[in-house]
Amino acid sequence: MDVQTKSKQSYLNQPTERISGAEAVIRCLIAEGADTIYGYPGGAIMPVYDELFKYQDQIHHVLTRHEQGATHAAQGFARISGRVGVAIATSGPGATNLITGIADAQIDSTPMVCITGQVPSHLLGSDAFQETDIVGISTPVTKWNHQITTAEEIPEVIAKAFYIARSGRPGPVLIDITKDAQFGELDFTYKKCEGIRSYNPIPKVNPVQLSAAAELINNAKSH
Amino acid sequence: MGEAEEEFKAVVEKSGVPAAWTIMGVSAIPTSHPLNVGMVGMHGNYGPNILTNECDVLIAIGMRFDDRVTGKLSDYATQAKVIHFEIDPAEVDKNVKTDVAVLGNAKESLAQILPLLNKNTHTEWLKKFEELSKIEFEKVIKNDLHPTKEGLTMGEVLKEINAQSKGEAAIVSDVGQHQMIACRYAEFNTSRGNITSGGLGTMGFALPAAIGAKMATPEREVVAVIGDGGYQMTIQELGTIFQTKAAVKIVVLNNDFLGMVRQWQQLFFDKRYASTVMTNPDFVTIAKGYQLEAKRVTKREELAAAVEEMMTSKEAYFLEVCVEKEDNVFPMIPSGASVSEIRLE
Amino acid sequence: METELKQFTVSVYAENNIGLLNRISAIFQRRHINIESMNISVSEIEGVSRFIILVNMTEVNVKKIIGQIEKQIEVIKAFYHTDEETIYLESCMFKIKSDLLFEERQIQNIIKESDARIVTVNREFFVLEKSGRRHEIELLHRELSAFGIMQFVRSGRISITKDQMKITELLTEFKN
Repeated sequence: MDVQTKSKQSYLNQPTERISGAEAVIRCLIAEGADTIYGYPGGAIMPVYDELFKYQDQIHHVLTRHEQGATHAAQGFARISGRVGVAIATSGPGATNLITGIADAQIDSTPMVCITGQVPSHLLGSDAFQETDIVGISTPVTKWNHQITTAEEIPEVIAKAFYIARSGRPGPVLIDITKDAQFGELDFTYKKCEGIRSYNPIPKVNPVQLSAAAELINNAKSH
Repeated sequence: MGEAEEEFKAVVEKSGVPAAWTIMGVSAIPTSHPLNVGMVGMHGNYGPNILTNECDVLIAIGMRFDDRVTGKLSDYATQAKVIHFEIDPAEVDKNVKTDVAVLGNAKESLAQILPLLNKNTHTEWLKKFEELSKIEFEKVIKNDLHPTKEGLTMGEVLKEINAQSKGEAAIVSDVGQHQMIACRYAEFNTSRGNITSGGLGTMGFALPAAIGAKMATPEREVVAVIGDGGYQMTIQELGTIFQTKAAVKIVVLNNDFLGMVRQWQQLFFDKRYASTVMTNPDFVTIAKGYQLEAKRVTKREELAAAVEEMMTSKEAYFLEVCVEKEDNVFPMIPSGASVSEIRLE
Repeated sequence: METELKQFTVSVYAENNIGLLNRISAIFQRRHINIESMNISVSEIEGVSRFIILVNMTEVNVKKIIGQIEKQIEVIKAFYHTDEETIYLESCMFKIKSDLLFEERQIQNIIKESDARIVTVNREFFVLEKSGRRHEIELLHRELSAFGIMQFVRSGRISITKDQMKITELLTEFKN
């Protein structure tokens, strides 16, 4: 998928570092200012948790007792601060347990990014252990979602996820990352997303409408 | 409010237009502000609901005209010119026909409209809100906040919390009767103070959400107000509080019922309390099992001191308050009725 | 009148993305609206897909649906048009036993009058193709079914609008 984002050219010219997809996920979260994230580990997301362990001085992970708790905690975090809440979970039941919180964030317009682990890409569609089509399940309750199957996609997709979650009318975004993408390697560099050509989060204020509104308010009766 | 609190306050003060809020909007301006006239919606205040159908201009800011707010749509503000400040174009004309739609970020559009507004006051109009508020006080609020009967009300617990919080604490409510009471009576000076599950109404929201809220703003007091039903949906998150030592204050208003459903069963289903009776465990022992400071209050005389102890603690604290079992939340707009048909009893 | 049911063609320009079809059909499904036909293809702009969706609904509701469709991140713009505002057609194919072509004189007349094309002939069967309006295709189907149709398929509607949709301008605006 070729993501049409602004400043793609300058992004391609930055210096890179060869790291794993899982490490890239953590580095992206840190770059987006996520200092506290909520989640529950499991098989399909273990590589990411392994990297979390190494970066624990820069990013604090809170282990909740249920993935639904992780989403609500991320929501509470987002509502009181205006920042993007982050919740992570493993595949299968871990991912499906996020749905209630995601639906809640969608209808109340709370900025949230959820990251789920997924079975390795060659197993997709085979009813593997803890495999669910979480992208299919979460489509009606997310502002945007996407499945990552190669490590190279990670930085741009996560940047897009945070941009979409927080811009315009905020909302939840789900990113599903296959285990092989987490283990895979990429030349990592990070650039925040500054725009998406098909997405206009903030309509321009129309001076005509503004004057019409002001006139109505000024002429309102005082009874 | 999209960080438009200052711009909003300026517009309200200059134009003199009374401001009401939905449960998602409360605390955008301090609840004590003289132009703040209360909450709209199914369990909102009497005045704002009735006068929605009498006003000549209705200004909606970042509002989606949810069915719990509008009641019967064909009978909602039909006499008014509707101005809708909104960032999402799909929301305009979705539920309510707009006369003027001002698209954009409220922070910008409110700042830009300020110079176009005349300085004004609407004292006569405001008086109407006050008159209706007096009626509501006599019939409902007095009994909620200053009860004379023996049983504790949810309202008086909120009153004690307000006394301690002085409008600074964030109140995280779950879903049900207690949520309506909390949204109606909690006092806020600082914005982003009310955190609740509005659109989806997810029970079990408050306990984990309070943890996230406290961690995001550790310097702010965070009080979770939860019913005995919702509490048990995510009760395992006490483990997260125990492990992280997040200094969250938890208040469970226990009426041994799924209160909101029971209220509807009383009003509309001849008191057939199907599956709404809750046989509850000893919440205080459970909290202590998670090494949390915990107390139970069953009498009025104990309430103030217990709330004070909770709010002054520097650590997590659990307070169970046993409230009147069959109290109902009023006012109420019955489902499918017009906002003008709001009932006081 | 805005509240009577009418046939509308919804055109959606979107980035080429796998999940988007799902999102868009879900928007109709959620509101219990039946999609009469849907066609997706590349558009006149590189990397941009075009959806043509035929629905039967009120104008009030189609406006709301357009709003919901445009909310999707990968959707660039969505429009709705009536039949009068578009130029449209459908295609169909019939597979018929070859013998009938020789045994039944009528079939040759039907083919000639309907302007259908024979795209393939062999000893067993021949395949007829026709493009045009729905009623023309339905007429041909009725006439041929008297003789026996082995296979029949009809495409969804494809359409071009009479007025401009200015997508390229929108996209150029973004680049600046």
